[in-house]
Amino acid sequence: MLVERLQRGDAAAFREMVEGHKRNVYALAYDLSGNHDDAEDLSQEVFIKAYRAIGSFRADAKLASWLYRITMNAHIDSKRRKPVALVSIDFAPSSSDGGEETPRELVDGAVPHPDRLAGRARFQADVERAMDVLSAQERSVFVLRHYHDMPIREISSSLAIAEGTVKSLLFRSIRKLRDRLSHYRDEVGDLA
Amino acid sequence: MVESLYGELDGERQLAFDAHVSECAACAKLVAELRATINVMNVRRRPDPGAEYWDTYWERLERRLAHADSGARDASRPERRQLFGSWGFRVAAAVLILAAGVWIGRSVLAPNPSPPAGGSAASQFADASRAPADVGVPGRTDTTPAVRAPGETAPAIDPPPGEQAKAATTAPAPAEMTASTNVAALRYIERSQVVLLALLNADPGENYAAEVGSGRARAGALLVEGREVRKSLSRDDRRLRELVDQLELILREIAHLEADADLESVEVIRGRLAREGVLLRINLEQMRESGVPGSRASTTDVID
Repeated sequence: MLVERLQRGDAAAFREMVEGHKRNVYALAYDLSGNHDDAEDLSQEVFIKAYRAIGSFRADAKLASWLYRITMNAHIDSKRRKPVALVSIDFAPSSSDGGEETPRELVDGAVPHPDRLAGRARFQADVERAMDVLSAQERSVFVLRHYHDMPIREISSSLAIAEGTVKSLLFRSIRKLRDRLSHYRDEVGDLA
Repeated sequence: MVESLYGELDGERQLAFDAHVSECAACAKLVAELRATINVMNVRRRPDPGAEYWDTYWERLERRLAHADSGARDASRPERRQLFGSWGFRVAAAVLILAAGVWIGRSVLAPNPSPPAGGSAASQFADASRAPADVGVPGRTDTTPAVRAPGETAPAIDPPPGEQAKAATTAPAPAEMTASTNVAALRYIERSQVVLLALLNADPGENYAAEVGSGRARAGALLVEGREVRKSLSRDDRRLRELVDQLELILREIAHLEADADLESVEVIRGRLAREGVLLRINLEQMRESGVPGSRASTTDVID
């Protein structure tokens, strides 16, 4: 079993864990930080922390949830150290850049027109800016529920906060996003 | 509401929620806005860094791990700066200064008691700086001399010399026994504190191995003494017993350091000292036992 091998200090098992979870950890790190450089930094920090703390991992827990928890704590710590975060606006999304498509885009499968691309780049930048307004805890709760399909109860247990607090943080996040992105509400179809 | 938005309400509660929303215009408006926002957020894309990035991810992580490992070995100075810059150490420093002030106030400014018969100032000083073995710790076997920092004087917790001489010849009353036991425990704690501070301040350099070696030897001697001190402590003195137990674990780690102890092993012990707030606990216990007003309450607040 992978966990037992990890706890025995098996280097091959550690690599196996990294290979198996790097995309999910990076995705969460990106959702939390909002830019590639910080996501790279955060995701690698998570694996280094996991490498050092594998002895404290309880075999009955899910490895993915444990890595998520480390990611969220590392993100919250980094926000405390670096309260002002810059949002990257220089990415140029396109279907050919190997970018990960949202389910809606996968369903549509169409190649976007350049005007739509420019509009979407602006939209992406606006969304990242809007997410940056959320506090570290609000953002953690929102991205876990919205982009990583983690149920409220599991978020509560992962972040060690009450379920009521999770609901409240989630509600506040969506309301803040609503206020920042209200002008996009009618354009969702065009952007997809 | 958020449970409903993310489909986490069971059938019955969802029906009740829908029934309310259908009758409440304000809630209906809010639900519609939040649903629309969720749809907007669904369109957000997370760019994938590409195959090359993933192919080389492990190599970068491996390099960073190696760097982090070597950094941990070489980072004693920055870690110590961080250690001393932390709130824990600021509080510890404040407590230490306060304790020193009280100690000076009690020993210098307090009215002098009548000197005991035949006791000169010189003989009192000699008594105060005597090794704890002379105090009469029950079962004590070693004769390790007291370790003091340069210029440090004995704490004002020694019983007057006259009482010590009496204690050697007559059976002590229970209260005197407790006082004597606590004196022995405090001496033991004080000497352990010196060993811990020496380890904390050992600088990598020419004398590093000698300093660590000396710390190991002292820790070994204190371990033997600690067992006797613990046996002599009353069950009621929970805090003192806990501190002696805690010190025993740390002294054991120090005593078991390799002869050529590397920085990393020493840093592990330093980290433990900082994490467990051992020096702060020592200072609080010293204040409590020396009867600093309010220290009993503050000890309870901090440690319990």
